[in-house]
Amino acid sequence: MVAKKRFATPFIIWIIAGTVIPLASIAYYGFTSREGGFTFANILAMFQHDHMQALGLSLLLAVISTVICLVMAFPMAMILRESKWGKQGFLIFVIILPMWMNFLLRTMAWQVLLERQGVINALITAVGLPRQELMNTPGAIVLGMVYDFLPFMILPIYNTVSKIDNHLIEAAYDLGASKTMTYARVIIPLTVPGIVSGVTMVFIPALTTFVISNMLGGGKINLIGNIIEQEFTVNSNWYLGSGLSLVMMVFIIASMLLLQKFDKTGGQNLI
Amino acid sequence: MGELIRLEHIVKSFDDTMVLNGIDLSVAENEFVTLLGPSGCGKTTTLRIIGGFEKPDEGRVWFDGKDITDLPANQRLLNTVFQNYALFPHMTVGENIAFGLRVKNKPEQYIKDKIKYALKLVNLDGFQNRQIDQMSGGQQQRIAMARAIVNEPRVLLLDEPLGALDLKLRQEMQYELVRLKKELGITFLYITHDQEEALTMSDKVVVMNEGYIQQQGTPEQIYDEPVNAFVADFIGDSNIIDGTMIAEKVVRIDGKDYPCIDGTEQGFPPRSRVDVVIRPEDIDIVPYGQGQWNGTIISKLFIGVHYEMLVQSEDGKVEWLLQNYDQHDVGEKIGMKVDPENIQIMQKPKSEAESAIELDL
Repeated sequence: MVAKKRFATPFIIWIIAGTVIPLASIAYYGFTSREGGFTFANILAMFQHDHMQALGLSLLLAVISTVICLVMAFPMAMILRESKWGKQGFLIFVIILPMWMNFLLRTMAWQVLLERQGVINALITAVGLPRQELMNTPGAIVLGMVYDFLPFMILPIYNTVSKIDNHLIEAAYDLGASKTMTYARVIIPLTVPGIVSGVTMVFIPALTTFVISNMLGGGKINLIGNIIEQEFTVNSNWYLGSGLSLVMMVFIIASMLLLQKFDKTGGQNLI
Repeated sequence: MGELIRLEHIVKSFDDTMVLNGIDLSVAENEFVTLLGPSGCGKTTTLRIIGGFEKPDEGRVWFDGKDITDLPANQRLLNTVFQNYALFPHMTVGENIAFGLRVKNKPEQYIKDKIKYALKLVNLDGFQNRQIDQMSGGQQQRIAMARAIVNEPRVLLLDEPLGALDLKLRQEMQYELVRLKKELGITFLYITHDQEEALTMSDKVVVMNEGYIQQQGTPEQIYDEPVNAFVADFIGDSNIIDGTMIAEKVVRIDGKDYPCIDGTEQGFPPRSRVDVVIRPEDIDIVPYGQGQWNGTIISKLFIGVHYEMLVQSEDGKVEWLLQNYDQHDVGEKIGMKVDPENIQIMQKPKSEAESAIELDL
């Protein structure tokens, strides 16, 4: 045992250097004022009007994106489960293919598509419709989030549904359940662990992103991620940036705990 | 007893592999019918077609006089007990049993009473709040039964329900199943590859192989009068030997002629080549030279009640399987005696499929 523990040393060093020290310094900055004294001001700053507004918008867009991803991913995962292509992993390959491209590049591609002079507007005007303002809208940000994060929803859900024993579904039909009831009472409850990890993997990055909102929101739409980023970069106010980050961290931990609760109860409360 | 289920020339193939080659089967109301056969014989597919989980390529399924071939599984008045039980892991025992009643919107009080009644019936009184993974294999098997019977099906389809249980439990459950069937007064259609299970419980046994029904009849008929070598071999142990009919009711086996009770009337005219089936327990051991055959014991196994011996005939052409209560030593020379009524004459397989069966033996 002791000998085995030694092999954990690189990981422990990694964790200390990469997680413990940065977290500790964020905590330090978060509770420190510019003058160097202890303060709650950086934490309480979250309750300022513009910060609350950004947080509210972030939450709204993250929830919308997560719901869209979930609604798209679940049927997709079920189709993959049934299909021969899914079993051979070809469709999975197609789904994760975009993930091989750089994240920034993929988001930039949407800029080109959504621009005033972009591809989509060219198509719209070609059929005689008026030019649309697509870029720099909350819609564009949601689109970018869904596009970037959808695979993270499909994969865990597919992973769970592909393991559901077909006999369970047959047993439900055998006992007289309709297709809808079989979904509601057997398939979806058994998929809850996959849904929980999918939602976690989409909701958290969507809530904290600043890259997507920077690139598709044109800096006009401020999400909480953008505010924190600006405090660190533009305003060089590490104290406020850290304070807001800490609040977000608590926020995320709370939402994860909430999600885990669904998982433990086997998801019957979801229905 | 009226007819409840009728299969009419059911044909089914999966990816160019013929699984069922025209199955005709009739199941009467309140009958215990067992489909018996080795794995891959098509028995499970037959059950799945009756349950509504597979569609036959050809043929019709009739239930109580109605054609249900195209009726979806959730509208059929029958329930299945699956081989792996297929209990819902996210529900308690009680919720599992209630499933069929809840989806039919039965009143809660009725459901409560039914769960209680069903648990009592399968000897699991008071277990409704347990989780499925806390239950043993035998208990899960009972829960699967309870979950099916609360729906008051007219037929219960059982797909090797005892297959995963150990020997002792399996024997107990056999009695249990027969008792349940008597109490419920419904039809059981049972699937197994275990001939003992089939013979013990059934009113009618249907022996299947390679997608054909080989023989159907009462357990006694199947055991005593197997129609071909496959059935004889599959139901219990058998000596299957080449023979030729020499004269009316006389068969030549292993170079010697013996009287038997089958002749032209049974379809075995003189000079026809036949299979001779002799059950190992029908061979008596007599002193050397006093029986119909002589041989040397080449191996001996004690299997509980009796000894099982292999005897090499004198010319070395035939190995006889014997079961006897008396102990004889390996190397001992003995005589063997068989009564004429225990020499069973059977047709040699004719079709290509049947020849293939023989090669598998």
